[in-house]
Amino acid sequence: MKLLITIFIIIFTHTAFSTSITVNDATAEKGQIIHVPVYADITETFVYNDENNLFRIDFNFNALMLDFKKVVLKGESIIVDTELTSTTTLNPDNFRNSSFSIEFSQEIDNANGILFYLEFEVLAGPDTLATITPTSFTLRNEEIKSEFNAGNISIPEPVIETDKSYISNFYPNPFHREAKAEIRFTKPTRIKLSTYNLNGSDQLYEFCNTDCVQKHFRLTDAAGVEYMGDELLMEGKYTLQLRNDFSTLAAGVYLLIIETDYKVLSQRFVVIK
Amino acid sequence: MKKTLLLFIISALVFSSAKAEKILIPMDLAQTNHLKAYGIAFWVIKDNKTVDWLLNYRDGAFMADYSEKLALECRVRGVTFEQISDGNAAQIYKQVQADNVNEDVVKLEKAPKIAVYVPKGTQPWDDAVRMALEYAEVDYDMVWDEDVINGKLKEYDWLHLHHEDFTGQFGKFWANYRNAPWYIQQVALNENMAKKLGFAKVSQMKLAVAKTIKEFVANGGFLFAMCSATDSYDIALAAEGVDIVASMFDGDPADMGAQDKLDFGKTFAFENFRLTMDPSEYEFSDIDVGATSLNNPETDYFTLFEFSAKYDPVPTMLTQCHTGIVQGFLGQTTAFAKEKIKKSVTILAEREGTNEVRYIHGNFGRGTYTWYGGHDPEDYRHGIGDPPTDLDLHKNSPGYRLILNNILFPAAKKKKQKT
Repeated sequence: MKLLITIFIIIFTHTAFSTSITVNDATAEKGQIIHVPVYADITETFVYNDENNLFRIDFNFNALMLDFKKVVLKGESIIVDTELTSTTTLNPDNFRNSSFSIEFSQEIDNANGILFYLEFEVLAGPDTLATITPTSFTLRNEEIKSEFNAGNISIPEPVIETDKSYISNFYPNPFHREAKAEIRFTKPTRIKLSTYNLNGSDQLYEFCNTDCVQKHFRLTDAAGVEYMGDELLMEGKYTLQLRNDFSTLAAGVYLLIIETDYKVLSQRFVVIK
Repeated sequence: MKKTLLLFIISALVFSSAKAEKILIPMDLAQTNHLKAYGIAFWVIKDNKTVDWLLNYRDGAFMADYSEKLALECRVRGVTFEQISDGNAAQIYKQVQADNVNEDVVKLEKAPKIAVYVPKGTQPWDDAVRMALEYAEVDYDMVWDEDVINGKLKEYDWLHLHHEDFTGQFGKFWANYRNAPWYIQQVALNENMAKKLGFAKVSQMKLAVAKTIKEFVANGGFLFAMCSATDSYDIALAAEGVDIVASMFDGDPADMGAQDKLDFGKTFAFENFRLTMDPSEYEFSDIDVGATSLNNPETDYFTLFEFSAKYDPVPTMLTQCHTGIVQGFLGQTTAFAKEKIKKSVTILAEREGTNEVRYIHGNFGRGTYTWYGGHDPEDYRHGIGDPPTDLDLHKNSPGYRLILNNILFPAAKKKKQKT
């Protein structure tokens, strides 16, 4: 009877498996070490009731783009066995079609979640995609019928740090007579100030000459030193005071444009009566 | 009388319908697959028949004798062709050979034996020429250092080099990839080959290969190189007997006075260049320009020069294209600094308004060499490990067409120059 049950269990074992191994997608930059989760859905598996449950998962990967380092077990890992081995096989005829395999001995009956993490160093990029594809899943050298889902590691262009120069919002805003804003220059520069209405005409220039325009703006540095005219401004923070003396600017929406030697800054403000 | 007339008309009709004597393969915008059209021309001459290359006529059309087999092959490969009568063909020949047009006929009669210099395994990059040859269904063999040293080049008419490094610095990938398993394996492969062939260093083996290729050209071979094979080849020749290779590549330091010891008399195309001795910089010398000034596909175009078909047939063949302006593409070597190019070299294409030359041609001994900057004409920034370009999506690629011009021109029957 015992023998019959064993035979039944073995037959059942090899017909009822329905598993899936999924490598999650990830994003990384060239040179980065990444941990890619491998998700397993092994809901109907059956493991033998002894210690020889040797599982093996094979993967294909592009060795020109990724360097497979090791398997990493973290908090969410279903595998907790520390006796876990991995082997990488470079394909000298086609590095793009290289492979690695993971072997572990563990009871993972009804497992559903992150099995383990794969540690890679991203070798290539930017602006490309590397794929890791599970190709087979075996238990005691017997193939387990599984669905395999590849993971894509996208290696985007690194974000180039943009210039940190800025002009803050005006306060108060809207205003009638006077408002202030903070400006920061990251490089020494000369500037040109203009005030455009929504029709694109420079309102102050339409009413004043250049000298008059300067009188509407008061620019001071952190030490309170006032900017007088066409001198070179050093990098740092400044306070801009916009004065609408004699109601030169009619009520409406305006755009303040500050043209520096390296960047154009802009900020919107509203004048009310 | 009526019967005779009727018989005459019928026989004339039958005769004229059977008089589709030529196949014209247009290479202008009417062509659906420019790249495979070259394969058709190659297929015909490989069958010991001749093809007429009508330079500058319909952007470099091909004309061959009509056969059902050829028409079927064109249809199978998706190549546009026109079935024309002998009379029409004669008119075309007359027009092309007239003195007042910049057109001419070149007879292609012997399929060149093609070799591509590539290791037995894989390279970490794709070779645009191999892709073009395979797509156009043109046969080629692969040769590597051992074959070159052992004299196998004698069996070939045409040799292609791509993203090679003849200086022995393993492509100068050290800074970025020195810990990558594939790089370590490539270095070991080269070092083992050098040892096997009796060289103490990879740089010495590569120099021997470069010199053997130089002999191949001197003896009448056609050499076509792209990307880093162009400048690294000339650098290796100029640096004969001088150690320009840093210790991480060959175990001993480079000669710091190497720059002054370069012999530009030994090179093919470049002179007065300065070496990039920093082993961590992904550059060989200041021959290459463009990597810094370009990097924007929207503004990167180069212009093909127009040559006299009747007086300069070779540069004309090399620049046959359906568009005079070609999208640029980057490579480890992208463009050549004009001031570093020898006066004897013919410039075939450059980026207008700059000193960036993309495509050059020259003679050495009884052979010729053609250098083409950049890596993959249809992948602006082709990186290591990137998927190979699918040429089925680029059937009319002008950049790839220029490569295929190079394969056909060795098939041309040499005729007396008019000058």
